[in-house]
Amino acid sequence: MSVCQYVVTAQKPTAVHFAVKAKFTSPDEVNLIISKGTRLEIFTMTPDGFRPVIEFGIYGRIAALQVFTPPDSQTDSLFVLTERSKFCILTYNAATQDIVTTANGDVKDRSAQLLECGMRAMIDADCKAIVLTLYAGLLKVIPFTAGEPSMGRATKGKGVVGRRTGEIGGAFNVRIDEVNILSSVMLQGVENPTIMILYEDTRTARHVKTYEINMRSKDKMAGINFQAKVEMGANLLIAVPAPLGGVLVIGEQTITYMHPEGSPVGISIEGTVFRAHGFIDEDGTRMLLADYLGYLYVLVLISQGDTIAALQLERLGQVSSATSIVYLDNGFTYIGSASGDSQLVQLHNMQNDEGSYLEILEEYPSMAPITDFCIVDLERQGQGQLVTCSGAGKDGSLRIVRNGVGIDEQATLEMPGVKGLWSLFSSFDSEYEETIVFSFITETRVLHLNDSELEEVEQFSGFDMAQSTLAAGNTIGNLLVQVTEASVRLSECDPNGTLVDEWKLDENASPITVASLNGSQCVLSYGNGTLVLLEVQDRKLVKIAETQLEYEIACIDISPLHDAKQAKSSYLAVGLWTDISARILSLPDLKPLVKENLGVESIPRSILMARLEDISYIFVASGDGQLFSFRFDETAHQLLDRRKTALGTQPIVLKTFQTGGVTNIFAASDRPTVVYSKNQKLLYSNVNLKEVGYMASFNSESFPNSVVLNTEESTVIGKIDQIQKLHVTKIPLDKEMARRIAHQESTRTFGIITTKIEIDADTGDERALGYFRVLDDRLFEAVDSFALEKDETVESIVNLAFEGDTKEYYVVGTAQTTADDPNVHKGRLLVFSVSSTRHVNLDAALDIFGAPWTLKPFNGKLVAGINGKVEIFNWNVGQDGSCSLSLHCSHYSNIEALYIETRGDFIVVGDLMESVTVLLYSDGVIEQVAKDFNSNWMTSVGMIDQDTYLGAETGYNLFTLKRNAGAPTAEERRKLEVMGEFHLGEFVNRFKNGSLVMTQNEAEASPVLSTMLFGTINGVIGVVANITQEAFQLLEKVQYNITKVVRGVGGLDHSEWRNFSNDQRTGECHNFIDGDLIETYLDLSPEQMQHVVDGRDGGTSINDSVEEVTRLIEIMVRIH
Amino acid sequence: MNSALHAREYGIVRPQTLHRAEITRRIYSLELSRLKEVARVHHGWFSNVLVDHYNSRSQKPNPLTLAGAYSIRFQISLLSAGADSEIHIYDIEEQPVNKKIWKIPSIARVAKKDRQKFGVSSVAWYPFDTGMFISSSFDNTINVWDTNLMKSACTFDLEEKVFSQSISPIASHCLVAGRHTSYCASADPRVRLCDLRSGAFTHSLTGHHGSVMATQWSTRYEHMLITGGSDCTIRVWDIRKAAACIMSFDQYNTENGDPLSSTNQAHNRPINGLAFSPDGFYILSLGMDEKIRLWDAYTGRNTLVNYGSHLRNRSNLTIKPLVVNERIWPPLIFVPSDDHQVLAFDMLDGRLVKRLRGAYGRVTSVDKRPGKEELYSASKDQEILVWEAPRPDIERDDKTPEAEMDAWSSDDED
Repeated sequence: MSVCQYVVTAQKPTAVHFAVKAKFTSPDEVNLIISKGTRLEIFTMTPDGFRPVIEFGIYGRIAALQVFTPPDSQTDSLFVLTERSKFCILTYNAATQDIVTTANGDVKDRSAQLLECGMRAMIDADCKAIVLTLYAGLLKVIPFTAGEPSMGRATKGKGVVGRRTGEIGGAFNVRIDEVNILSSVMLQGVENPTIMILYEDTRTARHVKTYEINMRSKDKMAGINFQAKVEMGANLLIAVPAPLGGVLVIGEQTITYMHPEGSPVGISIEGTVFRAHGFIDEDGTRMLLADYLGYLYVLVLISQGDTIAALQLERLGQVSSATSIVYLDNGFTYIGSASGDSQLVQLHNMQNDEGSYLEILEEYPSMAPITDFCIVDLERQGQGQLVTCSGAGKDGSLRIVRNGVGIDEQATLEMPGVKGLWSLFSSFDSEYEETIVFSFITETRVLHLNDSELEEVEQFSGFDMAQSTLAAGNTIGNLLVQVTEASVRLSECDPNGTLVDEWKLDENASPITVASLNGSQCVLSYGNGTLVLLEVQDRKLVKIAETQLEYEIACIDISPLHDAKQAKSSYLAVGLWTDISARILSLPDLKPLVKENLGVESIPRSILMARLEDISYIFVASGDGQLFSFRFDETAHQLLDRRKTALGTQPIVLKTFQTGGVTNIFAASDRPTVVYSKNQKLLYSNVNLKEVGYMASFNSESFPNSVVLNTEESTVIGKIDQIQKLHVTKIPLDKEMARRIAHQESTRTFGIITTKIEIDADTGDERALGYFRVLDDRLFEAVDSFALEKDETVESIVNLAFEGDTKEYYVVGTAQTTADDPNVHKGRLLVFSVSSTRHVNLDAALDIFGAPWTLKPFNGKLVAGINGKVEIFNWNVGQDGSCSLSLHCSHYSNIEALYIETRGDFIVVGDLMESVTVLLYSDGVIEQVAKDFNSNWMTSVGMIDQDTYLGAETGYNLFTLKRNAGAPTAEERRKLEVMGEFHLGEFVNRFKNGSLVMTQNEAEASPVLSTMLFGTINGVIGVVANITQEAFQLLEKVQYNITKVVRGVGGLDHSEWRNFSNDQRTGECHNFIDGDLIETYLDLSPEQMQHVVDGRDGGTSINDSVEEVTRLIEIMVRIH
Repeated sequence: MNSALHAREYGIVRPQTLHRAEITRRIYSLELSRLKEVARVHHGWFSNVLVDHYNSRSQKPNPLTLAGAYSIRFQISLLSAGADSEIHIYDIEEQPVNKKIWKIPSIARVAKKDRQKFGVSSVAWYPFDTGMFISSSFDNTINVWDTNLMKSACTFDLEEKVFSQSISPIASHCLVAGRHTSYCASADPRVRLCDLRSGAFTHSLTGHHGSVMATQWSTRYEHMLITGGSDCTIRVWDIRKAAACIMSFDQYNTENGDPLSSTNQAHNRPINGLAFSPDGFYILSLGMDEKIRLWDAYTGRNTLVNYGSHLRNRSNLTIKPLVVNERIWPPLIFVPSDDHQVLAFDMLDGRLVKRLRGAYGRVTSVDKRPGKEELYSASKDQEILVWEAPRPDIERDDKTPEAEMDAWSSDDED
């Protein structure tokens, strides 16, 4: 294995952290801007719902998001702050439909400590300043200096000034005494920017204090404006908009409204912790609050004259546990959640039957947070699926993640030697197809749906069954057309119908070679470039035009682009031999319009015109498995945006089909793919089949939304999945969250350990109950459960077979918690087996002295990380059948042994704060072999091979370590060497070896040696692939060159983003490739691709050609 | 712990919350390490013990390594210096395994012929890598040593006994402030700045009226330096200015007082210990009046935090206290005391949190290992003690830290 890794995301982050409402794209539109970890998504509100405008990622984790309206602007700007203390101000350019960075800068302070509560950005309504609470003891103020020219130079330690428009000036610090800040807001309706902070002093009492900032003197105003002590549980400040002004202090037991002039007004509430808020009214008289359990409340400020007299809180209902609330209008509210599905709800004035005032209109699936997953091959398709433990609190769920489009087989037929496949509607106007026409070399066979039974018919209407069919279809006048080598036959649309008309070539003419049909036209060629256009008129086939092109015609298509009824086309697309070109001719005069040389060696085998998402495309597939796509500009008669993708190595046959009213293209080849359009981009999704020769859609009453696929061995009729790259199915859990999951092959079950939070109705106390549940692995229904005792929490689960025992067991590790002591001193290991009647039996239990953080099978024994010890347990089966676990040996050298991976006799341990240790088991003794001496707070470990390890730590970084077993000195053998470092920007909870895609049999040696999957808190599923040194060197250059050609949004730098960085140290990114950036190469225009290869704008020139680079990147795309 | 880990893996709390809670708990529970000992190699009492902070800074080129020197990478090293003029380097990276006591060895030392003559008063690592360290001695010199060869690369002769030196941890300038004392009534005690790049003195700062015993550079501003001396004043210097002294601390915070007034006194007796908090907001000073004062580095005012009268500080030595406020709440200060203890106070509150007992002589300096909750203290009994958070799975020894403390000391000092 090499030490070079390639990291790519298969599933982008889904957890919503911030959501704001703004007039971002235009003064007349209302936008919803959502931030998900490192991505921003912008939607426009329309009467039909949310319309996506643009989505993009930035090189940073978004720590704060604020909307403000610059004084001389019609649209709003967005202030984005990243966790690395960089900020940028973004606006939207409606003309270019692009994001523009109007200012950016860095507010990092090298000595001060970051606040634990996170970062907050506050902008005052008059746009005088942006105040940031980032560091303990400091307020960072970035003034707006409208009209003044920018200074343009960095002053040390004070932050880089804004560029370009001079809108913002140099940042300055305001020193404040408070260190432990919990929340901060900017007061509204006051002249100078005034901040109120909520802080905790050293005696755990909480206070609020205001600071007024003097923009001229760049300091705070002398004297304290306002200071007050607040409830011990106060955790949130909300500024009430002008003209009321003031601040709401939200605590656990009370909500208090405070105004610098006037006495506080408060109400007491049932104890709960509020996390998110959103104003309903512009003046702030009503607002929505959401607590950690997902209950939504409305808080009303009742005013008397100019001041607030009373507050009123009322519970509305329950939604996902929210991080952000945006009230849109008319009761429509967007709930953004990081621990469950985000939702669109409607608030009503009347309660419904369950006593709730809200109605959930739509749910946006989110997998966040992923705490554990396992990779299984449930359908035995040779392809792995992920089952993740997702969601937190009462929003817990399991999600099944599958890659690629699946075919749900419903019927199989033996039909070897098929050369063509078409389906016919029962009548021209019908939406149901009833007949399938199979063409062979010397004959045609027809299957007809008769009372939901597919039967072969001897003679179908007026068809010539003794000839090979070149095309078949329905036409106007409710007739059918069949094109054979000899003639074109027009028949009645009825299985027992008769021939109505036949059109034959002259006696000496060669047989028809290719043909294409639509609802009223038929075009064919009989060799040497001849083209004949026929039309169906009054139950007769009438020749309309004839022409001859220079070369032999290889493929032909007459699908209408605009006629919904598929009746008449204005264009004809042909692919030619010899000059390997694609031509478009106009109809009905057969006048050439466009000629496009494909520039490949192999002839075009299939050509298709189709309209996806209101864009006309021409697709051409060549005989060596390449698929070209062009955008057809009908007014200019040009083919634009040429894209080429290698789909396989065999010829491709293209066909359109519809799912859910949307047109898609099926490319049948040795790597069958569905081409679909999303956000006006063409996307390709693999179909989970080895190879498909021909395909036709088949939507009938007995087989709704199905397709007919023909492979070498057989013909399959099946239902096709919704078209997208990753399919996620949600299995909701009953108000509990799953912590860990394991799969047991022998009983075909999943074992999950869950935590359920219950609120005692009387005392309001919170209780967490742990359960072990066994689910059927097909239906995901709980077959049996085991409840743990009170104060017993679930920690880990594993499925293993012990040596000397043939059964597989689930071992569950639990910890006993006490209210006073934060440390765990006692726990249990429970061994369960699932009987043939699907019942759970507790076979053995063992008391242990600590919390079992992780359990893994180890050569027929069980290895566990219990507090700071690594212990190995034996399984003893007594003669009377009783069984027990016993401690075999233990090793102590960790603070907390949180994560364990094993291979052979090696045990790799990830510690709470002491990075990675490698242990070796021999002869009943565990000894430490090597250790990484950096202080990394680990979040997960993975083993790439016996000597190479992958680690993830809390600074959102990945790193690889290598054990030098063959090093000369003992000191070097004892140390793990850091081989690679990378900043991922995500908190990884689990690594597992495996893959989401089927292992392909690549013709040449693949650059990918092995893959590992990971799941993160923000719902990201990603792949870390171990790649060869050669591939790495090429990709490293490509990566560098791409950053020169494609700039990140907000002026953020890619290489700086990907550098390893945590509280302790920083390191340059090395031996890792950012796959997400590499994949953007495929979206570049051909000139940009050439720029990248040439090394423009400061890149390094690459020796390979654009094609070779594209080929390598396409291989890398296929790992997810 | 398990609920904290649970909350972290679900993203309910930020990882920093668990870091802070865990590090705070470990620092507050520091006790004499049961498994780690530092090998005893010094023959005289200690003046200074220092852990290098190399790994927390990004690498910068070392201007003074002798050409051709091969590089040994010391991962984490401890530097100790004492009255016997010996300087030792220890490798403190290894961790004890399986309850065996681990003796931290000295891996390098200065040969007898290369030593400074009359006892080393203070040492400092070069802030950007461990290839170099600086020591000041009572033989009037400040030496800059090459760690690979353990030989002096450069010597500054200050003509008078040097009590302490300090190098800025953040600056790109390589200036060492040497303390300079004079017993002659006519001579001006000066703070002299030695430039490592050129090997010459750049300038002197005048203002003190007696020997200056402690110097510290600001951890926030690279041009700011503070010194404390036997004239009971703490002076703040801005080295960019001609009239460099910008302030002398006033312990009474006189309203509208002149910052440079000659009657300003920081303590009632000479000052022998200074430390900056890592974020540069607070200055800690120790005086022979047995008082500890916390100053606001921004305004220069005495924060008036009352640390009580636990400190014993009457010896004429430079003491090195420690401020720990990174990633713990509430922040702590560790003050070495004459009564053989290291006292831990809540920095903002003044409350005595813990007494670290275990030394048999006056404790002279204490330093913390960056990134870990480990403290190293050096005392006049020629021992360096290691303090760390207890490992709960190890059985308690019979020997408790509260062993008999010898009030009787074999030293002839004080």
